[in-house]
Amino acid sequence: MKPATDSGSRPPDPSFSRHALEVRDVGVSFQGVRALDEVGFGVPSGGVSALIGPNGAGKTTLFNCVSGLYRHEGGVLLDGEDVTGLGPHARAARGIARTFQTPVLLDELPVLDNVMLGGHTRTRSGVLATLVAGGLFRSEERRLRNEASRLLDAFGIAHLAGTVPGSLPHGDRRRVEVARAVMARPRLLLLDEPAAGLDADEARELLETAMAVCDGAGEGTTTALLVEHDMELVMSVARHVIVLDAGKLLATGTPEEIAEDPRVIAAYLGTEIEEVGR
Amino acid sequence: MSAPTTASRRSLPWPWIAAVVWALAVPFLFSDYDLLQLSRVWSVALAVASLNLLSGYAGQVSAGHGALFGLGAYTGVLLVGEGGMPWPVALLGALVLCLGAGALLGLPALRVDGLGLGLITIAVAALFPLVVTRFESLTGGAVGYALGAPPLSAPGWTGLADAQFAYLVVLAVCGVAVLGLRNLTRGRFGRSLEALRTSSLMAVSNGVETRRLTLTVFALSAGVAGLAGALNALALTLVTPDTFTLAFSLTLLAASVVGGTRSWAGAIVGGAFVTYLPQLMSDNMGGGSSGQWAQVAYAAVLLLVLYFAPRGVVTFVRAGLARLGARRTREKTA
Repeated sequence: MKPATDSGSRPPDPSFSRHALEVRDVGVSFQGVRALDEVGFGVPSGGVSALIGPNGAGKTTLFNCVSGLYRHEGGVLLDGEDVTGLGPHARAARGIARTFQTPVLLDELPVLDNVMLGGHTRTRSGVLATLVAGGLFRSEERRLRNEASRLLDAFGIAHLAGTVPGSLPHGDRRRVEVARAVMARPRLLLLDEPAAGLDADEARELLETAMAVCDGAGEGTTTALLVEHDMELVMSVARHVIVLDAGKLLATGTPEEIAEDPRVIAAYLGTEIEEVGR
Repeated sequence: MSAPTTASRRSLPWPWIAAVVWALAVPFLFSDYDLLQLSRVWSVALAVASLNLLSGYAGQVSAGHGALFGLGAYTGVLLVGEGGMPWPVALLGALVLCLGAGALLGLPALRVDGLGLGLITIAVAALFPLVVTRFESLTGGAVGYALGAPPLSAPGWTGLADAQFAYLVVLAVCGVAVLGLRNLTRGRFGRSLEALRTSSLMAVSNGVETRRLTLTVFALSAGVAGLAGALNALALTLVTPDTFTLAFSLTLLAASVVGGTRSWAGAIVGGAFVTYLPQLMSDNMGGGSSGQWAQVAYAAVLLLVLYFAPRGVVTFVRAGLARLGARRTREKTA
C-alpha cells in the first residue's frame, strides 16, 4: 500500500503543460477561518478527474477559487496560462465553465434560453446590435439556438425546450445546467455534485454525454473536474482523484492509488473505498 | 408550463395591432385637452417601461426615476428655450444627459443592493426638486420654466393641428423606444439581464460582466426615463419642480407594479394609472383634498394588485382570459 502523491506546498510543476488545471498554493480564509490552506495539485488534461473529501473539506470553496468567484492566495493556471488575476467572467471566457451544487437556472426563461446562456462567451453582439435587432444579433441568435437545440437533444431533454425550468424535477434541472456548461465548449468543466438527485446510471450517462459532446465539438480537449460523494461513480469514471481534508490537500493519484492510501482511508473513506477499489 | 423563447417571439399579436390602429386614430377623435392627457399617458408609460427594464428584468432597484424623468424634462425644455435647439436635438440631449446620470446612479449599485440602493435612489428623488429650485436663474425656481411657443408645432405640409402633431410625435418616439427596450430583453443582452437578476454568481460564471451590465442597464433605463420626461415637457411646454417630487418617483414605482414589472403593455396601464387616477379623484372628490385622495387611491390600488395580481394587472387579465378560453374549449369538446 503506497501513499499517493502529497503535494500540499510544492514548487511549480515543470510538466504543467500536461495539466489542464494547475492549482498552486491556493489559500482562502473567511473571518479568520482557514477554508483552504496552500492547496496545490495538477489535473491531467482530458477525461474526468474527481475532487473528493468529507463535508467541509473545502471542495466547493476550491471550485469557487478556480472559477474566480473567491479572491484567493496562490495561483491558478489553465492549460499553462496564469488566470489568477482574472475575474470570474474573464475566466469563463478563457474556457472555465461550472455547475453549482444546487442548479441555478433562469426560472423566467425557457430551458432553451437557459442553455443558450452558456454560449454567451462565444458571441460578441453588443447593446446597439441588440437594440435594433441587427444582422449580427440575429445570426448569433440563430446559431446559438441551433446549437442549444442539438445539446438538448443529446441530453435527452429536447421536449423541454419551451418549458420554464421552475416546474422541472431536480434531475432535469441538473441536466439543463450541465448542458448550459457544455454549451460554453469549455476547456475545464467544473461539475459540483452532478450526481445529486440522479441514480447511478443517470449520473454516469450525464457525465458520458457531457464529455462526448465536449470531445465532439472539435474545440480542443475538455477536462472535467467533478466534486462527488458517490465513490462508486468517482472510482468508475475518474482517471485522477484529488483528496481534500479540512482545507488541505491530503493526496492525489489514480483511483487505485487513492483507494489504497491509508491516510485517505483513515480520514474519509473507510471500508467503502477498499471494497470499490479492490 | 411553456413559454416562448427570447429568440422566437417575433409576430405581433392582434391586441397590439388593434392598439396601434386605435392610437393612430385618436388625434382625429379627441379634443386638444384629451390629446395632451394622452401624450402624458404615453410619456409616463415610457418612463414606467424604463423602470420595468431596470427592476423587472435586471432586478435592480430605483426609487429615483421621477428625478430622471424631471432631469430629462428640464434638459429638453432648456435646450429649446435657452439653447434655441430644435425639438429632436432637445430629445437627444435629454437622452444622452440622462444616460450619463444613470451610469452615475448605477455606481452605488456595484457596492450595495436592495434596501441600500433603494435608499440612495430615494435620496436622489428627494433632492432633485430642491436642486432645481436652487438654480432659479436657469430653471425658473419654484415657478418653473414655460416655453413661449409649443416646440412640437405641426409643419404646414402635414395639415395637422399642433396638438395632433405633438401627440403623434410622442406616440412615435415612445413606440420606437419601447420596441428598443423590448429588444433589449431578448437575445444575449436579455438573457444576461435575467442571469443578473437571478444570481450574480451564476451570471459571472457564464461570462456575464455583471458590473458593466449593471452600469449599462442603469444608464439605458435612465436615458429612456429622461427621454420620456423631455417628451412630456415639450408636449406640455412647461416644467415645474413640484411635478418631480419623491412622491412622483414612488408613484412611478407603483405604476410599474400595477401594470406588471415585466410587461410592456403593463407600462401603458401604469401610464394611464398615473395620469387618470388623480383626475378621477379630482372629478369625484373635488376641492383641495383631491391630491391627498389620489395618494390614498394609489395606495389602495397598489395593495389590491399586490394581493390579487402580484405579477400585475396585464398578466392577471391574460391568465384569466386564457383560463376562460381553456374552459370554453373543454365545453365544446364535451
